[in-house]
Amino acid sequence: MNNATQLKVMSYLDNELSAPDARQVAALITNDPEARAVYNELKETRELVRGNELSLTLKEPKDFYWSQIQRKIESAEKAAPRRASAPLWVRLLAPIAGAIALAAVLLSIQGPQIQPLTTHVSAMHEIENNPEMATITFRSESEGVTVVWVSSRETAQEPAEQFE
Amino acid sequence: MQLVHRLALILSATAALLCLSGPVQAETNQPSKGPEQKFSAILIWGTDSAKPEGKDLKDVDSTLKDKFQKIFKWKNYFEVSKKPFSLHQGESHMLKLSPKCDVKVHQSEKEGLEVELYGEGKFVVKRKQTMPLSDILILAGDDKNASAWFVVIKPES
Repeated sequence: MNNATQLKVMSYLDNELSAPDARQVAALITNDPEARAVYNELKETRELVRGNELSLTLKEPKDFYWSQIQRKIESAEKAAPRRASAPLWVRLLAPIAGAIALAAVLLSIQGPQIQPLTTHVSAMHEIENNPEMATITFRSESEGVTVVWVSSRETAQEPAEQFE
Repeated sequence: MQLVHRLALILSATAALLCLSGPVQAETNQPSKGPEQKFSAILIWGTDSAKPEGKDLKDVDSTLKDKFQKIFKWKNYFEVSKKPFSLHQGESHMLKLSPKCDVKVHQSEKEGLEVELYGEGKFVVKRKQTMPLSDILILAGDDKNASAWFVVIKPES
């Protein structure tokens, strides 16, 4: 029985289904042993929980209790310090400063996912990949081979076992 | 004095004309294509299984196979297809290595060699390098049943 059907049986037990759906599930419970077993188990569990639930009594009426909680939440929200707004010139220049800083960082590196060559002549390498993919670059100087291993981002979390 | 002044003017005008004509002449020349570089694009399949029957798979060149066995973990490597090609500066080649695998290679003066891989028509990865390719470049990834695919761009002398 799939999860959707199990949820329907639970909803039937809780009287949360519409009349047509309730009739459908009732028929299923009558005709399907698996559905009937799920229904009986859920019903027993519910009765056990209800029968053994610890009673908790509030000192004050329920409405008053919840209104106190609501007032505490509202006062906490009002008491949260408002961030002082920065001067206009800071707000205007901040994005530009950020862009300059980013450009400086990008210029200082040799491109994304670069593995520096160990040969005596330096070379610029860049890798661009499909956003759903991740790459690892590896160079074997002894073999004169550069490997770019491509994997989907899901499997990229697993350790690399493909290399000796 | 007037004669000297006139001579100086004539000489400087002549020099200016010579300077201007130099680059103009250079621009009218046909740009050099640069040396031709020869490569092979090879699609290789790596697996621990034996060579499947009925499939047109060749043995990988022994030199390349040695390198693969030193770097990768699979027992067997089979050549699915091999396409030789040559490149001049500014040229591109699109090579179909299999129904699902295409590779585009471009040589540009400023950005060097660019290799783009497409799998099932979708862009997978692009590698640029500003030097001529002296290494063997391998683009690789996992395939089904714990095997792997390898696209090899190998410079040929």
